[in-house]
Formats: sequence, C-alpha cells, structure tokens
Amino acid sequence: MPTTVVTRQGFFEVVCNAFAAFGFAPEAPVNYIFPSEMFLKESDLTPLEEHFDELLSGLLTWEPQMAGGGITETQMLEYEVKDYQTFYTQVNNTFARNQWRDSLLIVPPTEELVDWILTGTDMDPEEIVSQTKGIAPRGGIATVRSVAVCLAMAGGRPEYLPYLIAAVQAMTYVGINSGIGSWNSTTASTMPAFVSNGPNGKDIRLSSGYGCLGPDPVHPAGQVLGRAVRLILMTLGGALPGGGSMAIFGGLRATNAFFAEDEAYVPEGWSTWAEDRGFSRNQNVVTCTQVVSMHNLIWHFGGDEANKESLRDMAYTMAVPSYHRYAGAKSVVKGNMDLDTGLVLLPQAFVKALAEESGMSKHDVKKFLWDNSTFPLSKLKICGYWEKLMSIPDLLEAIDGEEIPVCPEPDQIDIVIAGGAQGG
Amino acid sequence: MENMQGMTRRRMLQLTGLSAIGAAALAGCAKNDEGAEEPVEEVKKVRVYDPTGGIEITQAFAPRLDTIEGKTIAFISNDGWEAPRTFAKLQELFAAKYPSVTILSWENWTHGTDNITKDKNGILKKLQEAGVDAAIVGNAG
Repeated sequence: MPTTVVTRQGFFEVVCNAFAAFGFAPEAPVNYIFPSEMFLKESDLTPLEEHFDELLSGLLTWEPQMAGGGITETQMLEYEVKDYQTFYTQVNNTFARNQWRDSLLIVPPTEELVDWILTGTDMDPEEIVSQTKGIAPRGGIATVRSVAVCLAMAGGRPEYLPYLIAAVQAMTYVGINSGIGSWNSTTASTMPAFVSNGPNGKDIRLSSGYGCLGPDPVHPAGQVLGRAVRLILMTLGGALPGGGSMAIFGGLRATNAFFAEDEAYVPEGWSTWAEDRGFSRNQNVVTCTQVVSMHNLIWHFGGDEANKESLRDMAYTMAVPSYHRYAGAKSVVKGNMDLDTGLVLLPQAFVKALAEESGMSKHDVKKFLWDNSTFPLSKLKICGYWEKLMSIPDLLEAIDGEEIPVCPEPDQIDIVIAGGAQGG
Repeated sequence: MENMQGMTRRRMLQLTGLSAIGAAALAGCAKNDEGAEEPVEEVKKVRVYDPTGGIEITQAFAPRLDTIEGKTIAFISNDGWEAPRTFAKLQELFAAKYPSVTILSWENWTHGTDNITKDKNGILKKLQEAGVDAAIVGNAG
C-alpha cells in the first residue's frame, strides 16, 4: 500500500533507515520535509497548509531511486590520476560530500589497496561476516570485502583483518540484549569496546599496556581497528550524527576502544575475561561490550587496607542508576554473562597487589565491588526508573534492605586486566 | 642556458637528472609545434570502492496512486510530536481541497510506537479489511 510520512528536518535519514529495516531500499516516499518547529507543542501548523500538495505527492508521484530486488552491487568510482596529491584530495572531497568518512582524512580504498588488505584472510571476499545480514540501521551488508574497504580507509594492514572480522561478528551478535540496530542509532552515546584475548594480539601489536585506550605509534593496531569499526558503523550502518544515529554526545567514538587483555599478568588462580565466558587461554577471542564513557581512578598504594580503599572508590563510581542497565530488562537475568554492566579495567601492579597483599581471587574482587556498589532504592524511585525496575525480577530478588546492586550476581561484573605497568 | 629548441629527449633527461626508472614512468613523448620532443604526462585510471557496500532489498515500494480523488486514506499515528494536532489539521485540509477523499482516523487502529511494535502486522490487516488505498504516517521526529 502506498505510504508517505510526515517528518521533520534532520530526521529524514532516520526514516530512510526505518524503511531499510523492513527490507526496502534505504529511501523514504517523502517529497517534503517539514520544519522542526512545526512538531513542537502549540506550534504554527501553517507549513502543513502551504505544503499540503507536496506532502500528498509522496503518494502520487514519488519514485524510488533504487529499483529491483536482491543484493545491490558495490559501486566503484573511477579517477584519472595525474599525481597522487590531486587524487588523494579528490577522493577525500568526494567521500566528505557523500558522508562516507569520519572527520579525518581517509586512505583512498583503491582496488589494489583493498586486495592487499584481503591477503590477511583466506575467507571468500564475498562471504557475509555479520550475524545480522546488514549493519543496522541502514542495512549495508558486511562482507569480508566491505569490511576490508573500511580497514583500508582507516590505514589498516592485512594482519588486522581477522580481528576486524571477529569484531563485526561480535557486535552484530543477536542475543537477548538490545541489538546493533538499537545501540547504533540510540540517543545514548554508546560505543563498542573490544577486548582481545589469546596469543595472537601481540603479533599485530595490539596494546594491553600504557595508553591502551588511546593512540600509540608503537601499538597502532587498536586505534586503526577502532576507527575501522566506526567507519563500518557509519558507512555500512548509516550511523551518521543526527541522521542514522541520534547520539546526543557521541563521545569517544573517533576510535572506540580496541585493546588486548594483559594476559602475562593474570595472577595464579585468576581467569582471563574470555575464560570467564567459557573460552580457553590459548584461543584467540574478540569480545564486544557497549560502554558510554570512561572514569579514571587512582590506586591508593600501600597494603591491604589501601587496596580495599581503592576498590571502594571504584565501587562508588559504579553505584549510579543507569537507564541502560534497566532498559535491557529482559537481559538482566542471573547467569547472563553478556550483561553490559560496564568494564572494570585493573592494571597489572594493582592486580598483583590484590592477589598477593590482599589475598583476593577474581571472584573476591567482583564480590567486593558488588557489595559496595549498591544504590539506595529511595533515590532510584525519584530518578524515574522505578517502573522499569519492577520488570526485572532477578534484580528485585537481589535487593538487600534498601539497597539495590548493579546486577543480579557478582560474577556478572566484568573485569579485564589492562593498562600501564605501575597502576596509579 | 641551452636553447630548448631541437633538444633531444636524451639530453633533456640528462639535464633534469631523472633516473631511468623515473623516465620509464613517462608514457612517451610527443612533438611540440617546433618538432622537438616533449614528455607526455601519464594519466592512470584508478578505481576506488564506494564504502557503503551492497544492500539487500526484499520489498519493493508499492506503486503510487494515479489520483487522490475518491480514495480512502488512513492516518497512522505514533502519538508523538503533536501527531493528533497535525492529523486534525490534515483532515481539515482534505475536507476543504479534496472532499471526495475518505479519511479514516488514526483512532480506528493501534496507535503509539510501542503499541504498533507489539501489534506487529495487525495494523496492516485492519487497513486492508477497511479497503484503505493509501496511508499517511506521522509524526516522525
């Protein structure tokens, strides 16, 4: 049935993505977009009268740009190159005009460059690697080749490609949490954080130490992979600020977070994050979790009591009511190790002190954080989350007196060992 | 300074200090109006990927109406962004300009984003049963 939509300026891309989610081309049968002011309370509705026929033309004369069905072909652009500087500028200008890049200049993804990147895997370049066919909300299909294109643009290398493919598989996991279509387009400023476990992270120089969440010329893989992920989400997924993505702030999204767990410093008896979730120590694993920001704390050096002061400090920063915690109500169940409770990063020196000075196991640390990161019910009630909380039985069951924990069970808190050697 | 007229290519290479490899990059030479050889700039064609990839289209947009006259139009509301007000205004506009059009209000079926999501395909069935020819959905904001 022919349909048209009454929509506002700045929201048209979202409407296109909504149609794409239903299997249509990422277009919308709309010939006029109304001013945003018209959608406010007691607004002037004159634009409706002035552009009434234009609205109706969406039912009468609008035509789709993309015809036919099936999978559309990847388009190629052809340039006549006289010198590299001109070519580089032209490609970046085109990509900027079409919103095919982030804020930074990209490396032009030529056929030769992408073919080089593809040598990093023996997978068929046309194999679809996402667990959802398209990357929501726009629905661009993540094949090995299209992922390699984004890695090329980010300045990547062939040996990074298997990690990027694993990252795409992880972030498109269709589990019981909110899917990629939700967190890629939400008003919340979420970003994916990826942690690598296993022996191969060192081979590609993925940082697990100093500055592992930031740029590092000696360990460039993390920033490049994180940027490639963002390019995938923006180009294939259509998550452009204010268009496909309504993230109010979009913080830390330039490179997201992509780093390795510092496995050499996992204490005796402790497990890695991948082992917590059923993998073995010698398996190469990439895990994705959604985070919204970062909070840095200082380790209070000097023995057992100082260690526990530091843990308390950490726990108090975790004790915040969070819409995300309660919005994913169906996923907040006991035993779900894929809960997005945030990521606790502990550098090697602090972990050593916790294990040796305080005699704590990983479970002991999780229990300590869990016990000390509760939030008063009385305050939760006035923060507007009461109704959502009532729909989470496992969390209600874990309430002790007037205090509510961050998750149903201590082991659902995620701890990863990473960061600079001395803590601090 | 040497007279450029009549300069051979070999002499030109000697003067500019181009290496043999660099010289090989030149596509060749062309003669200028005076008959002397001049290097021709090579133009190489390079293909670059559009990074937005392929899309799977499983549904085609419905053909548009041939005319609005005499049709039955349904309003579908997400209850947001002043939808009741704008739909009321649209109803007035239809009555004034296209009195032959039958409008079926959003109140006849499920409305509100959450309710429509839970209803899944229920709303489409009701539209078909009511003989609706087209729909206006609002407000997307």
